[in-house]
Amino acid sequence: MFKYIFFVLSLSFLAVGMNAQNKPSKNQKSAFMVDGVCGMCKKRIESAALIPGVKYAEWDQKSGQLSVIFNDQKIDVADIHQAINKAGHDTQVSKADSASYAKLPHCCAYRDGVEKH
Amino acid sequence: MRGIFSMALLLCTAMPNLLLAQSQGQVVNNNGEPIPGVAVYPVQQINQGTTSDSLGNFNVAAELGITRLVFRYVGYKTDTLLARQNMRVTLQSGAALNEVEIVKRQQSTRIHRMDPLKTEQIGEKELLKAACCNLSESFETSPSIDVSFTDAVTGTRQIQLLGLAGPYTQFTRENMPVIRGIDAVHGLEFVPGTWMQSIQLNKGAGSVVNGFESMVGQINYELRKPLDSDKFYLNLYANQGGRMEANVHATTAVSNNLATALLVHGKSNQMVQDRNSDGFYDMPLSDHFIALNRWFLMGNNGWRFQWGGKITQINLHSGQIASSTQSDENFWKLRSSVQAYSGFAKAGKVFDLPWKSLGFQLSYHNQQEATRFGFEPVRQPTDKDYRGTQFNLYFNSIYQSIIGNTNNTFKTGLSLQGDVVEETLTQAVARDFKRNEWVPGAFFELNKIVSEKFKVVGGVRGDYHNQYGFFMTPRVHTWWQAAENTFVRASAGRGLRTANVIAENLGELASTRFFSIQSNPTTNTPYGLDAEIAWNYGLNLTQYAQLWERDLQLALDFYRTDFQNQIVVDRYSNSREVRLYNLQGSSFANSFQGQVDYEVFPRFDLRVAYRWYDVQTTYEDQLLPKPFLAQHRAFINLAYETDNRWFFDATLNWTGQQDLAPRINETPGIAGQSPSFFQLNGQVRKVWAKHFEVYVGVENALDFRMDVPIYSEVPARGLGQSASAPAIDAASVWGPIFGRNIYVGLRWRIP
Repeated sequence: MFKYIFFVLSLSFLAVGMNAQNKPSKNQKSAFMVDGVCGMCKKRIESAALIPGVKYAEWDQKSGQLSVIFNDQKIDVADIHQAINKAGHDTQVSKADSASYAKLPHCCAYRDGVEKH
Repeated sequence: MRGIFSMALLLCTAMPNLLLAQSQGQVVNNNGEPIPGVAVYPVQQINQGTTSDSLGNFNVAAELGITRLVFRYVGYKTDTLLARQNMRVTLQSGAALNEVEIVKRQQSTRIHRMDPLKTEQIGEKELLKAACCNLSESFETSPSIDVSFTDAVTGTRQIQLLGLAGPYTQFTRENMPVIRGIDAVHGLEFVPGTWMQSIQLNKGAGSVVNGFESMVGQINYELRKPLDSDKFYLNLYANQGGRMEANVHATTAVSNNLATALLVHGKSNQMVQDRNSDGFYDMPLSDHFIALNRWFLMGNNGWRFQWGGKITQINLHSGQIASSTQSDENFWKLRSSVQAYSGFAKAGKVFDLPWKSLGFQLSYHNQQEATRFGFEPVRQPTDKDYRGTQFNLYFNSIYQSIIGNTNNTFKTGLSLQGDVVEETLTQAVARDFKRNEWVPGAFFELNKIVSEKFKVVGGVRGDYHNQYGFFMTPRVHTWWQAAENTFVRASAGRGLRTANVIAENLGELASTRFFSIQSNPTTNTPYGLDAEIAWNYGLNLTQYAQLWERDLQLALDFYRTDFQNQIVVDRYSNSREVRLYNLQGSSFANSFQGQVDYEVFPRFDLRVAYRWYDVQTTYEDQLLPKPFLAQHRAFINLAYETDNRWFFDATLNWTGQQDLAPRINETPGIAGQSPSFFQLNGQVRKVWAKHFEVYVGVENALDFRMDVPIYSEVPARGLGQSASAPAIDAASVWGPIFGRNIYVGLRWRIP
């Protein structure tokens, strides 16, 4: 009986101990504006932002703010902007080229007067 | 051009319900700092909700200006606000107790659209529809679960899921396994209905996080918590059968980060009832006392702690009714007493990163039970005396994080489960059963979003059992959005458990039939029998639709359970014995269910369901249908509420013919079929000023009952000095025993 209890408890505390060690954080947080108008845009922006190195991406439709958490030893935040541009969306620092923008469906044409919906 | 844009806009926004819009905003604390992880959902529709992201932002579908949104987070006061487009919500910190949500409209049980595991959420309002009063009685308005009596004397109700007995379903209280071992069947009665906040029902393979024992499904129940329950709550209940209950809850915040809840339940039935004049109690005389105290502490650095304890004391008396003038005669009686003490502790840490958490769970349960079916005062060789004690220990750790990005989340951890059980069954001679089971294990479960339309949850655990050895438990669930409102799920998984052969079949002791455990004398396993092993496969479809502009939900599901080994409870082969042995041959359970939920007109809900079972087991060498299980069942539930808060509810259940096992001394083999029958339950409830309500209802309004629930050769005046013990069989129950039963009750709360 006690050997089992001892075994499981000691392994658990070992796991906690390893987790508690202060490693340099590889998780950089960033938030910036991305143009978009609808739920379809949200899905497109979030999946475009999840390039290798990005762990978490959430775009808020109302404010247009994208929150990301990424590994800054692997990528730079500019890589995320580029990936979003490639999917056809402008960010607060860089614009999508017209070829990428043209691929968006009509309902997501945020440059052409479609309002948030 | 403008036209094209409008068209495109319309297509883009084509939502299941055109009235729905997105309510967005940010949740912050008193200092204006965002709070991540806040649950945001429309009142009473927690399934439709979301959680705020790392910046406190949320985005939830709601009817703007109409729907009331609930904002809830541990350690903060819950807030309820009207949905608007641009909300800034400030939650007050501290362990303040929240107000009761004002509930205007309650949706029926809904199935969460996006969850790869098909989970039916039975909410508080659904629980209020149940006539009474404990976990086993909470499923009256849920067609997935059958409830039947185990026998005609103990009054124990057993649930069945997918056509298989309750113990094949894993029960968890706030995700910690409970109702196990000698508690497995009647443990459901020790969970008072008013204590429960919600129940989550998951049919099929289930998750590996909570262990390896689930075979046909998992039922989790959440108890009332210190932070989001009423300050004071009183429920009183009485029925025609003489059952009286009182439930009292109280919660208080001891300090800014410490809060406690006390839940107390008392039940008594001292009224002798014998409507069918068979000389036996229709319902046992009983006394129940159950109390639970729990604590919540908000620690530093994202740590949260919960702990608590529960005590249970039950006394039952049933069987033949001895009139005072005949008290010196010898009567067949049931006497049972149960004492249980249990405790639990949980610690959880939420990290700065939204995907990361760590949790520990620890629980123990100690129970003593003594149950005797037999003659008093002069004992007979056919009497049955059961004594059991058990000690369970459970520990689990769960670490949750991601691989790469949040499309791949995983849970992993270590667990330990221990059961020390000692039992004695006396039938003329005493036989002892002792077992020590210790099972350390580890699990890993990956939740992968493959695409917007396809998700997979795959889990595996490895456990080492000190008597069965090492075994693996794989389980897989897939979710596919076949069309915008069409969801297809498939699951497969393995389960393994020790059958607690006596306790799970305690109802079979309510007879003079010999209880024969056919142990293999050469093995050292519990009862000299093997572990039960089953594979479960499931396929289901959920379709959401609009019919005449009202929501409709259609759910079809098919499940198959294949036993690799099962402890067969054989009532067919010999009518003087019930035999329990390892399966030799095949045993399976197929089940199909179709269910439609529809709002016929505003505030009037209709639920219709049909179920089909094919459950067969090899008895000795013959494949036969499981006895006392109806192949066809149908269910209709109607619920209506008025503007001034009258609630009406009616449920009609139809149970088809059941194959019967022979009664004592009948010819072995299938002993004919029971007739099909209807049961009608109804309830009317009125709520005043949201703090006070009164309800009145009726169970089995059509007054259907079994003609002869107990076969007895004992004279009504008692056995006297007669030398030979006559035959009794109270373990062949296929329908209601008591008939119509009217009840009244009240609920009063101070929020």
